[in-house]
Amino acid sequence: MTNNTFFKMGIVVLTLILTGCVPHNIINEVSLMHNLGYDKEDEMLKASVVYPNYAESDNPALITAAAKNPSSLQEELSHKSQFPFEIGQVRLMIFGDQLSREGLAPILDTICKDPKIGIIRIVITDGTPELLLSKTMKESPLFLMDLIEKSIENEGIPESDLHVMYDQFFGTGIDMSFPNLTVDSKDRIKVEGMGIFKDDKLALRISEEETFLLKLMTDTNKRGVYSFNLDMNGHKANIGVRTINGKHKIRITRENLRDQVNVSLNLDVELDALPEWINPEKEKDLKLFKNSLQKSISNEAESLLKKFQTNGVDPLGIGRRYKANHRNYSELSFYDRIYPSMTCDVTTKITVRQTGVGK
Amino acid sequence: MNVKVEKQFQISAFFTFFLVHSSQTGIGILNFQSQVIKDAEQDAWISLIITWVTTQIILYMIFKLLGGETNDLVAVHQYCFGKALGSIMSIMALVYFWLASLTVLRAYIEVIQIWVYPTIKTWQLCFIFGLTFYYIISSGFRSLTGFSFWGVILPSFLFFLIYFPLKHTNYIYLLPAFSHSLKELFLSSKEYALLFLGFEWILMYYPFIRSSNNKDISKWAYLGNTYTFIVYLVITLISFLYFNQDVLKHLPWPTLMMVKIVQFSFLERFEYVFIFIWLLVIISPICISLWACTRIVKRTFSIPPKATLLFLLIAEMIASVYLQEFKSIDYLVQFTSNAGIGFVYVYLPLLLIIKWIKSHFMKNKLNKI
Repeated sequence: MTNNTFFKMGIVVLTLILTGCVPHNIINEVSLMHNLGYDKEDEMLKASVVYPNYAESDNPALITAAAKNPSSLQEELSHKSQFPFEIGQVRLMIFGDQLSREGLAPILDTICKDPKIGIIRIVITDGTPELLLSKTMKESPLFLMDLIEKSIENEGIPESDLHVMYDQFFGTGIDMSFPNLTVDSKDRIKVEGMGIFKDDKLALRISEEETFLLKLMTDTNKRGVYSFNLDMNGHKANIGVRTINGKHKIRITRENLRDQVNVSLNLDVELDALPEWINPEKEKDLKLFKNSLQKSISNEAESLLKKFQTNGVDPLGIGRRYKANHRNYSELSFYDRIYPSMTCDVTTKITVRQTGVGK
Repeated sequence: MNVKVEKQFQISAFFTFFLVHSSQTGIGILNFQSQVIKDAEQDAWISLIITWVTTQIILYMIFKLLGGETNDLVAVHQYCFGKALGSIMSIMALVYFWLASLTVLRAYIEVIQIWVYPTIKTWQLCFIFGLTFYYIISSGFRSLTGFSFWGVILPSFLFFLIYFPLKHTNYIYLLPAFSHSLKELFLSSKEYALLFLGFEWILMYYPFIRSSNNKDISKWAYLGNTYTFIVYLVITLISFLYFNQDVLKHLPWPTLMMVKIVQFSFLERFEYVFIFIWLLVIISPICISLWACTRIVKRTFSIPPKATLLFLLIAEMIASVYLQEFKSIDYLVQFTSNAGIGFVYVYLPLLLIIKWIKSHFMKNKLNKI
């Protein structure tokens, strides 16, 4: 062999040896965080972490730690665990009530600097994350993530993940909103409504019905169930309508020196169960039914928009929409002067796509 | 002055496309968004068009410089400034070429250190990469071309990844359009100019391209530059549609953040894969510029390229290890990009004027005799 061949082989061997210099993480020797909760308690930041504890048992383990700043928080957590924590697999981040009220900014800034955090779901809770997480100990570690994922997919909760958070937190003309998880009286966890933020502080909580209306006006995915009180032909009933898909459009017009927000909703719905006194085959019945449904959605959406206005929050991104048409937009003056005086108008158009297979 | 390259060392004109394109795509593509939106904000894509047009003009000038008697930068320098001053100017160009390769290497190592291995030492990566570079460059220009060919073809499947952010785009982020002054647009197009740097290395490898005429080569060079423009345009538009302007200001690595949402059931975090595939992309600019350095030394001092290469590589490794703090890396990037813009947009047009004056002057003198 020539000298040159030796040299080339030497390079290959050295390269292979040097790859061993890279630090490694063995899956059984790290604690993979799955759910991470942050809260505030007596001026201290508190973190609760759920991670699968493969080394000892099949059940996940819950650890909490408190510190004064987010960086030492992770250190404090590690002091309590056998293995180093890996944040790379966090699927769900929960913010406690107290922290949400005092401001999420320090935590959110830390999150966006950490390259290891993937596209995670972000939620808030109206209690403490610790309580919430302690109720999931018997479930699989991904229980909460699946719960939220499914609710966003099918059950009228607006999209809420890291990308949406960046968009709403840093972006001008829109405010943050996160789904709210609660523990009910029977110790079960459920998704209930949403929390709307002004800047980084929680400003308003909205109910389940309002959350669905918000989803209709913001998301492209519009699946969910809308229930309303129908008063028709002298009968009364509460009816649930399943929306399949649809489109929303927000426009800002100027009429009589006042800016007006026009929201138009185009919804395709599916009727599962109707009372006997409505016959969807009949043109007149269907029309009446559709009218009252449209009216109900429009009215409730309008009053929801008014509620946002009076609370000074803008989860719909009306400011952003306004900015798109106005060159010298300033966030401060928009929310000070223009936003509160805007009038809202919601128009809904319903298309009944199907009534199921039975009669 | 004209340099003759043996036929077996030459490449066909078609590969100019890959050489030009691959030397332009470096590390800047991962984080250019936050720079270009500073002035033109959502209208920055117009600035990109301005930059593309200006680079095409510069390319045209380069081919004017390279025509006829003078077919590489060293020859141009000797023709314009004479032997001694010409050599000094060539050495200046060498310093810039070397800085360019150092910048790409150090910036890439920084990406690895930030995203993947925070504790890895700079010298370890430098050593492995250095061996690779030595191997590629010392094998000669033809294998370098082959590498830049695959460095364009293999990572091109990454282009399909735009499907994932495309699902979450919002056109409203591009509004209001056309709302910025010409000055702001030009300031942003200066930021874009950094991304196009690298095409000027054709000044050194031009004699290695085998072709019947200048036109054939310039056609492929223009196409390569245009392809770079298309790639940047797509990435710019996608990231502007995916991220709000204000978000882009807060995220230093928008392209990698965009790759984050790519999730496969067998692979949770695609950005790691992306970063390592990117190694294929950054090898070309580093190697071509280092090769151009060795070529300058060989042409001016007749020192064998392998010795120069070894020296330059070791200097590069030492410099990379020396630059530890993020501020100094920032400074290096700033410095190199300013030097590059000065070289391409100020010095090259100037050189063309000098050459033009010289050739006219010479002609008149000859006529008189």
